[in-house]
Amino acid sequence: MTTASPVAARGRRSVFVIWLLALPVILLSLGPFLWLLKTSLVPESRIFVRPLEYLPSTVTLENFVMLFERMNFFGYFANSFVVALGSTALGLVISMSSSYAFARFRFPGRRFFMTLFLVIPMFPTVLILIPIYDIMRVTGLLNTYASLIVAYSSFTIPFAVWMMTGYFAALPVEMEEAARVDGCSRLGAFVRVLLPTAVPGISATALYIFIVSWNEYTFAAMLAQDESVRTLPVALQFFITEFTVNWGLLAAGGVIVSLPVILLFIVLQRQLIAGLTAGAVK
Amino acid sequence: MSAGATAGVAPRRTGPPAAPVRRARRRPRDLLLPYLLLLPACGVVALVVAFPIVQSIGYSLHHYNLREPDNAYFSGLDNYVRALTDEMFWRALRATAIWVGAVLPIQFAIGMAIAVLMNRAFPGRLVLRASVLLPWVVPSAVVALLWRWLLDGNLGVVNDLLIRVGLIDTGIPWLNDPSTAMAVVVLAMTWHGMPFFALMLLAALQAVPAEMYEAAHLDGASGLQRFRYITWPSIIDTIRTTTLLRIIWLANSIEIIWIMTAGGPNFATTTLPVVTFFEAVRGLDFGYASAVSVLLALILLAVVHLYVRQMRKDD
Repeated sequence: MTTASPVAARGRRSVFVIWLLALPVILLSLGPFLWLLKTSLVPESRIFVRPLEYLPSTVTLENFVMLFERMNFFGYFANSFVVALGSTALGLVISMSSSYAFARFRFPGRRFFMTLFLVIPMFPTVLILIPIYDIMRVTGLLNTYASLIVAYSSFTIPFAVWMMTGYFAALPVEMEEAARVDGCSRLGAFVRVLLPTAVPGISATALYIFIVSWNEYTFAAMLAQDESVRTLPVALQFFITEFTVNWGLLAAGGVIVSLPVILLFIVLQRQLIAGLTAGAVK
Repeated sequence: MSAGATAGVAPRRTGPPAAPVRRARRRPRDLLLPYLLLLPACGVVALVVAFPIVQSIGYSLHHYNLREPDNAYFSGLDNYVRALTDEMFWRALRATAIWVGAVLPIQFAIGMAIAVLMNRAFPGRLVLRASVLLPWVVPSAVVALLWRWLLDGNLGVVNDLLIRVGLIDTGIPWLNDPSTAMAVVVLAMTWHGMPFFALMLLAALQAVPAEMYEAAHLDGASGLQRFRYITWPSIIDTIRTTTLLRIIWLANSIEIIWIMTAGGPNFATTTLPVVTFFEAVRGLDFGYASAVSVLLALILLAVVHLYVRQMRKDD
């Protein structure tokens, strides 16, 4: 009992130290984006006021209204969503069985195939961009969602295979073995034992693919130039060349592009943390 | 192949010998199974990566400009000779090395520190977790635009803060000055990428079973010993994989630099991928752009080879 109070004091002090370290990290992470948000919410005229206003004196949504009136932002939004969702689904479905094979089998050529998936994303985007452009042109897939979803699988699949292999391999094989000894099929053991425990890893992988696909610019700029399939990052680029100086509008555009991924992340993050803290083997 | 090696699901590490039950159930079909499982990913990858790469190598050996597509002809190593004798190529190679060499260690150090912080239980931890990952979620096109705005010579908040603190007297045109442009694109990329490291390392830290720490604690291991003998061996593979992926990803990245500086000013931020992007998109010189891409790929291949060899040596 006599030691209780010093221990508590030490606990308080370590919390204080942790927050002393955490605070600059939070400021550095949030600050730049908050500045963008602030810029998007003030009238154009206030942006040029010197000295700079760190807290806006007037707040307006006029930048956002102008953005949606002048540009087809709803349409770009839908395009980005379809492409990112399609890429996530395709990436996960195609990659999962390979990850399982790498994590649970030892077979001749395993190292070769794993190295293959490691080497693939090494190739510069622009190296495969040009031939893929030609393939899409020849097959008439230019300016379709499919062209982007297929092109994105060039980087989503290798990353998904590697990430999920890591997660699967980190999970103890004993539980699946026990299930199989108890008469479960290999597929049954995979679906009922491995998959549920691997949910945090799979979610992380899905989150990763969705965000990367949503954010992708280079392929989208090349393969989906038509306005009907144009995604948000590219739309923003068009916007930059069109109104180079209008920072208020640009900031509003940047906020609109970022917001869905941020919201999705907040929702998925809870699920991720719940899964991580639940623990795989108890 | 020995019977032991064919036991596909045998535990990798030391453990009890494989149950005889499994060996009895082994059928020829099971030997084919892993290859069948690899089929979907390998098929798609052959179509969207392998075939295009072969085609790109083909392009690189041709004079092929989209402005005059009918005038394409085999030109041997002309494109390669042109690249290797161009001072621009060597400057871009150096810029690429500086870019990767600067961003990677800073991102790793910050990411590791954040992961260790996030792995501790303390009140308000969720606030830290949510904040820290924001820069990664923001699309790179927006990141580039955002930092262009923050670093603006006249209205940028970075200059304003530095003036207020008294470090500078007048605003610096960060992105228009060849001596500062590289530093600030590195800054933007570091901001964008540090959560990736933090997320991966945190996942690795959390995968370490708490029981191991408890056991070590009972055995009287110090904090440093616990890190040395439990944490480090558990996360080293993640560190290696993540770092390797990061080197590759950084060396190939275009968007941040392209949107922030387009490789300027005076080519100060022109890395090799920016050269290829510029030649392909602006110059429409697919032959030359492909040759530079192939060279970049070969250089990266050499780097990865050295990296993996070092990894094996460490094991």
